[in-house]
Amino acid sequence: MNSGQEAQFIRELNQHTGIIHRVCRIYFTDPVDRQDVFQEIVYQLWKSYPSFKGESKFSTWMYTVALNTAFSQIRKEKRSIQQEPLHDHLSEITPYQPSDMEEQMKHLYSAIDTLSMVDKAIVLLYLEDNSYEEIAAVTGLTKTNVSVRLVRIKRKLEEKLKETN
Amino acid sequence: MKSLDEAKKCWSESKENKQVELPGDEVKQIIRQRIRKEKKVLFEYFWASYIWQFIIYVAMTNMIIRFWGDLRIVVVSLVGILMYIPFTIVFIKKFTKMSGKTNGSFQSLRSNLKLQWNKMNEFFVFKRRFDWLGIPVSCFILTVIIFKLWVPGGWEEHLTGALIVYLFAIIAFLIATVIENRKRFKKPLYKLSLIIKEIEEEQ
Repeated sequence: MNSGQEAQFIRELNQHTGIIHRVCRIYFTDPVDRQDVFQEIVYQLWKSYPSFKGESKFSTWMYTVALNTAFSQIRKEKRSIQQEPLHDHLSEITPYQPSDMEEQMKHLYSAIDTLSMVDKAIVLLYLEDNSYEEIAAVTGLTKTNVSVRLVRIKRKLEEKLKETN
Repeated sequence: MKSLDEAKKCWSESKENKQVELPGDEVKQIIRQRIRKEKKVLFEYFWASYIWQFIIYVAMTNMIIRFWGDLRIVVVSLVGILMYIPFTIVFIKKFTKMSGKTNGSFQSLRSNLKLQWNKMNEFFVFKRRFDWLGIPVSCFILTVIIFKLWVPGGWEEHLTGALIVYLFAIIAFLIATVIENRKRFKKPLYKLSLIIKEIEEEQ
């Protein structure tokens, strides 16, 4: 990657860092794991950026890379937790929010946590306002299958949310 | 918050507070650090296997030179070398293919998981085939060398002892191989197949 491409990559990455944070938040409970996976996702994005031809939105491509990397990391039984310390904000996956929202988000995250790995990916993409086509493209499911699964996921999540309320 | 639509609203509101900028220097630092880590992981597995094969070559060559007049030793050593040469070549090729995590491109979750499963399974099938042939032959060569070098009279005069050493070597190799295969291949393949199964159900 030349310096121009690198600068463009950093610029585009910075417009969507929230995606990486949310993928890490949804799949990993341990802050050390989250930081490790955050770094791995940034690295995988950097590595595959030259192959990004702009056929899909940058954010859609980013979800694909981030979710694939998270899935690979979950499969590994032991991940190295030795990392060089980075700037403080990297370890701060959940920044300050008003307390009621924080509480609601906490309930939502714990409800999502009960879902399977694939369902978590689908619901994350749904919450992030992706279309069914985009969800299908990222996951490799058919559009019909995405909608069927979302109905089931919604039902399951709503039950969980009602329980916590 | 009772419905997913409310959750979605709450989610997008919380998103506003979550955009954190990563300075370019930090991105570069992460990349440098990850490249080092990736190299280290590859290095550990690759060199552990490669050094074992290198030891085999050195030991066999040493035996051929040292016992040049002894046809049996020369043949056994040559068999060892000839057996390991194709393995080393295929090992390097298949390992490089398996460890090429992304090849610079990502497809959908489903395609990537299948690709990873296929690559890992292909390497595992190859390794298992080699284990079936390689373990008994390696142990036989090892036993012959041990008795030739350190037991007066060689294995011919201590057939029972040689057989016991051979069996112990086979058991040790088998245990190590089973543990390694379970950790590096069977468990990851099983986990991958579960996720693939989940994605493919109802498709």
